[in-house]
Amino acid sequence: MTTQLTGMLDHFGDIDKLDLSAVTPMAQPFPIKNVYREDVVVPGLDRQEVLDNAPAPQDGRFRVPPSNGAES
Amino acid sequence: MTSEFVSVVDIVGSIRGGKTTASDVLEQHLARIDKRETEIHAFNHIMAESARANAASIDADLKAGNDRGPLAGVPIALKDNMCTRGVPTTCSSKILEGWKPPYDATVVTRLQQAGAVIVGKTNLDEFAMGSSTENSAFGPTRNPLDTSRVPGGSSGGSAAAVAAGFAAASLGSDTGGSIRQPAALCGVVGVKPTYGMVSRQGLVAFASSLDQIGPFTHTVADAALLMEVIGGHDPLDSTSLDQPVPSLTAVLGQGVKGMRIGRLADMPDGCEPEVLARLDAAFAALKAAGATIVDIALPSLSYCLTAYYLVAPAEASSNLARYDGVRYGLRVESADLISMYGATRAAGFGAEVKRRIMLGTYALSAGYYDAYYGKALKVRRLIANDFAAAYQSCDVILTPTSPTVAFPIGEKTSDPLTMYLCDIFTIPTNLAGHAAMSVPFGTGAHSMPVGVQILAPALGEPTMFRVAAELERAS
Repeated sequence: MTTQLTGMLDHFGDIDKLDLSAVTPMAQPFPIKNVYREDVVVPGLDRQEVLDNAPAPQDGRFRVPPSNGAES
Repeated sequence: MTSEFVSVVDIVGSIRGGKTTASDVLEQHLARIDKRETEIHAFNHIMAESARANAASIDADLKAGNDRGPLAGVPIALKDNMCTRGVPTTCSSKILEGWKPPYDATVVTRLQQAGAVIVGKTNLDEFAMGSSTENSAFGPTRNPLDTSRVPGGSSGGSAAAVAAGFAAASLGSDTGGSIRQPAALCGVVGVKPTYGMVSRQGLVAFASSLDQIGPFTHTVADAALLMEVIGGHDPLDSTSLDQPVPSLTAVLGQGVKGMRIGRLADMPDGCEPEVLARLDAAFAALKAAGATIVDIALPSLSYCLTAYYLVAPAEASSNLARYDGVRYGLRVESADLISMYGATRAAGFGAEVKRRIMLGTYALSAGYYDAYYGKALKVRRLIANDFAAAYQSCDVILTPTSPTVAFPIGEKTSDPLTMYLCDIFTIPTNLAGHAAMSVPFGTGAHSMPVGVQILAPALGEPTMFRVAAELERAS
């Protein structure tokens, strides 16, 4: 995979020859702005349905290994 | 359209006219699945039981005189990166195997409200990263027209499902050509709408500034109908355009008289001669129908591949950070949290996904941001400027959809860069956010189908569909 990635990055060097100094970057096709909805309570996802997808649910929460490596 | 299959429009008419029932139509499609799915592998998940229940419900409602919508009784397949509540949605990745979304994508809701019968979830390149549907964790999909060949990708399962008559239509997603290229390789119609015209809510994100959902169908009229059902503003997608989808079914008979069709003055290398011959035939057909052919230039076209393969992996590397083994999907247990993240992602992601995450994180890293991602965003602007200039002198642009017909399975898997070159004609549209579609237009090498791509500016769907309908009449 290292060889493949090196080959790709070499190929991607083709844009180095372009003079892009006066070009504005384009991150989105069209201008976007924050969209807000009315601040009213609406139903959320079903808690049990969400937890049913978790690899290790415990007491209504997502159980994860300790972040420092020590078992609590 | 292959004569053995019935179009969406005809299915709707037959059911409404009482000539057949939703259940009978569904059984015909399920019988074809039974016969050929083992060989083709279009689906990750077949929903025969729920489809039968839905079809029976539609038949009962129609019998009682209730309207069930414009797609009542039409069997439709969904690419397996669209969320379906309570139904597995895998993105053809081991990291999401077994996940059942707690909500439906907006397009799924709209199809169901229109009376469509969902028959299953189709195979794809893992997380939609690929051009052949060989990158699926669950094995490749084969082209129904020649099973030694690929169906294209990444929506190869959706294209194959329609081409094999497993569904009357399907939905795919197109980030760099993932609807149009498989449509071309399988001989069906495929549409990539203007960015924002179809809601992305519930589409598992790959590259959010490029992704769009669109239909696969046998006919242009079917695609127009599907677009009218799935398109339009959705408050749940902040990039959704706040305007209604234009009427497309109404414009199909308007012809192309007086229209200006753009032709690339400099065609990129690597196209098969038979593909170019079909493109010439398409230009001739449109000219005969009253259009004018004008030469145009897209000077930045050759740089699009680089821009795309930096922008898309950069966005993907961010989007795919959510697969961490905590809330859903695969977890590989480890002693600590960081090790668990690493072990889970190492086991859950396939080679192409890892390749793109690494490319993306590299392109976004502090020392290389300006050299790669920053430059790619500027090249993106150049291609948008090229299109703006070209559309001063033409209404649409015609190109091949793919430089080649469907290639043999395994031919390009060892060299990702060669695979990426399949997307040379489709990528520019996604970078610009414009509309494009592929229409079957005869056959090329090995008697495999050739697709002609119609490119249109943003919101140019009505013009694009008029051209597509004319090409369909001429093919």
